[in-house]
Amino acid sequence: MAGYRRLERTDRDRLLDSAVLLYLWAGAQSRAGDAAGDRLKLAKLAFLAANDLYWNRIKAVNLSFFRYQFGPFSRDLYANWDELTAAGHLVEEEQFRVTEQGQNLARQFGEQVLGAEPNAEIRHRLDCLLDTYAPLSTEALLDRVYKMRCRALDLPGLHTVRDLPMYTDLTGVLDASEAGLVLAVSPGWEVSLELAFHPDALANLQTGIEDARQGRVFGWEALGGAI
Amino acid sequence: MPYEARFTAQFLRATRKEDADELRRICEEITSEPYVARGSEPLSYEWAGFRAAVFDRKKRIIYRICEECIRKHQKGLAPLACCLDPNRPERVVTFVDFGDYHASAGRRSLTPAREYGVVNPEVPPECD
Repeated sequence: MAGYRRLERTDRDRLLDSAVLLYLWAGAQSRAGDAAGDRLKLAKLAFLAANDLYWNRIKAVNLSFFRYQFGPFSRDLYANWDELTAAGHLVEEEQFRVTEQGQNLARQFGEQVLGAEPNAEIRHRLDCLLDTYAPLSTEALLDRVYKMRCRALDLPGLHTVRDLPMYTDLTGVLDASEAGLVLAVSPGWEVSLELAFHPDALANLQTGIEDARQGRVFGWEALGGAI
Repeated sequence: MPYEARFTAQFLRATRKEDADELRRICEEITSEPYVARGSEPLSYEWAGFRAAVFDRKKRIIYRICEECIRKHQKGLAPLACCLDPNRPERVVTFVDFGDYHASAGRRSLTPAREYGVVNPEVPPECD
């Protein structure tokens, strides 16, 4: 009997992926120095996380990786890079750098969401991965990934990444019902992430706060009318 | 007894295209029960000290309850003018912002998951 795999993320999956990846890449930056790394390094760190979580039936990263020219790659990463960059959490210079704002969000997400008891195993796996791989250069990390043995969705058994045919699917998207553990995020934090990853939300909040401080506040009579 | 309502200029600007009667009805609902109305949830990160309530399927109302801010010692988080006033009334709801900040808003258009493919059943789910 054949099983099924999901190939696309939902908006919610993508939102939570951005938060977990920001935690991962901020952790890489704090361990490696001034920057998180180039696209290759960030993609490989994301793959190592996705591979570990997916094959342990943990739904925390929802990235569909496949074998590509420089090892495992996921097109989904572009959306996360775009989202994090547009919201000011990530800057792409010669390498990707997590901004102070991004580091602040990553720290709070790490403490309050990943640090919560139901997510302890997920955080432990991410931290172990960071301790092992984040200090490596891109070349050294690529070499480690090429040599590692992993599972593929359509091929039974274990395979060396380097020997896998191009476009071989390596990870997919778990449904919550098929996962043994699902990243637990409170409704309040979920809305906070939607706001944090929206390009205009923080500026709008700051405008509202400034209005309140400067006395630009009104009563019921102003609601629905011109001000 | 409902809480006193205050609306920032930002909130009024952001809601100017909404149906006035519906907006008023929902704001009254929030000022009647600000802790629970319309799926109210306390927020985190830069929005710590604020709450979000659902306006419709995607749009949200961002507000602060003065007494909650005092009780949780959150006056230092993005303080409003009322936070600095020692004679302030505490039963006040300040509506600060409004918008469609849903996960798909303002971002690259994404389609919901619906594609499925066959996966080899011989691959065990366990990791080695």
